[in-house]
Amino acid sequence: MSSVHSYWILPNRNQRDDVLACDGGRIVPLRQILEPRLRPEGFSHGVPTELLERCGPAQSAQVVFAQRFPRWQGNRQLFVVTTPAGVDSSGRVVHLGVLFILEPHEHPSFDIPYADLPGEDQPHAQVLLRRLSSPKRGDSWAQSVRELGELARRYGPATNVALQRSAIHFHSLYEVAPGGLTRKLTARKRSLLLLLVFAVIGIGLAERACRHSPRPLVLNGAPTCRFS
Amino acid sequence: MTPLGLKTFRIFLLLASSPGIERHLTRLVKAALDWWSGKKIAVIGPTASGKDSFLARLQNREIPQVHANSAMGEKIKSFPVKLTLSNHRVIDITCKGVINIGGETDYRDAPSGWLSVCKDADVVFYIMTVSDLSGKRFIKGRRIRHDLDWLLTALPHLKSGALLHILINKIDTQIESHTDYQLLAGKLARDLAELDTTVRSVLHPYEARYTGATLISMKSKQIYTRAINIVFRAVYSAFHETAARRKAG
Repeated sequence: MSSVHSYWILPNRNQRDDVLACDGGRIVPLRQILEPRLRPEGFSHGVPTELLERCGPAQSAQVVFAQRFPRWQGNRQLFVVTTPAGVDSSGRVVHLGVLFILEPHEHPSFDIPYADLPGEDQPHAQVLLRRLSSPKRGDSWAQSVRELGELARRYGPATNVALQRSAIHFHSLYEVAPGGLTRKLTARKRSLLLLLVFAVIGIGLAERACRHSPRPLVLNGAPTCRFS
Repeated sequence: MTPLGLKTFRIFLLLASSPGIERHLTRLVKAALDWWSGKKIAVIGPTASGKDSFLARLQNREIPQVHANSAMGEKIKSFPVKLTLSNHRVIDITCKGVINIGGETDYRDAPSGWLSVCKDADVVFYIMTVSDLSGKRFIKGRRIRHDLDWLLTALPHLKSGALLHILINKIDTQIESHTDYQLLAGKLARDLAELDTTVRSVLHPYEARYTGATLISMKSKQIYTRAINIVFRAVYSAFHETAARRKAG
């Protein structure tokens, strides 16, 4: 029997003192579902400001941010996906999220109901779920979230996209690039690339040294053998 | 001076006549320049109280175009703050290791929440709004009071000697909606005195760490400039008084 638990984290449009969540019927403070003291370090209730700043106002609505904490409360996992969902009464961007509490072998599934969400949140929920369940070609944000869901547990706390201003370190798969995301180079690929660069520089230097040498580049001639 | 600037001037002049505040206004000790240099600050407070805007003002930039409800603790690069005082002296402060965090109680109570932001700070700024003041949100059972109770539990875990100053933001909204400034100043002074009594009683064991509350507006540059000078002098004065008292005792 699956024990996947999913909850909507609602946008704080009215600048309330606490974050609200929907547990599939009731709207309750998120702290009733996930006690703040039990939230792992670096847990985010929305899209980090640095991502919104780097993407700019035109692209920021497309951002989907996800985090995975594989060893939460023993062996369980926390998986959270968030996206911008309009603005609050002061015009600040607010966020809609889905929180999954998973057993070690489980993966997040994006087939979840949203009919009980407040009316203004439903269109954002619908778009988010559609993007995540069947990512369109070129939707690197949605693709990165799916990949994060499949990531091996050994990587520890991870995010779909690299953060520069996070107070704690996360393993990440992608980084922000103009118009979307690009896959981050792995340490192995980075070493290979570095080796290649050094090899090219080495060959170039050797060739330059030979060109400036007074000795002929190639000593021509054939060995002669005398037979008596 | 624009009409808002003139109104601000009147309000500050009227409030300056309240006991306690005058001392801060008239006292500018040279040593304050040295004392503030290199201090670490933390900024906490309820959601939409103006924490992001305060950081923007300290960095001498306008309120960011992409402005969001902060979702997680994010590090901000160290930045210099230059404050020109009335006698043209300049205070250089480097804000180091600043972490910006959300104001919902979820962030306050989380392990990587407010406590982790405040633990290395020399001065903690708690930001509330003028409607929290007039709406008496500092009485028992309400948000500001809960935050004060949280501060009482947090203070023993902060740097020894860390100071607390309260900023009451959005005073521009009150100034713009009033015409009788004498009346407004009187009401604000009464509310401030009531807040002051509450803070001192809640933080009683650490009362000496509390350096006062100042009305401010992050939105209006004129009010901000005037108020922030009062704040930096008030914090130093309080520190100086405590140090002198300790020396004498």
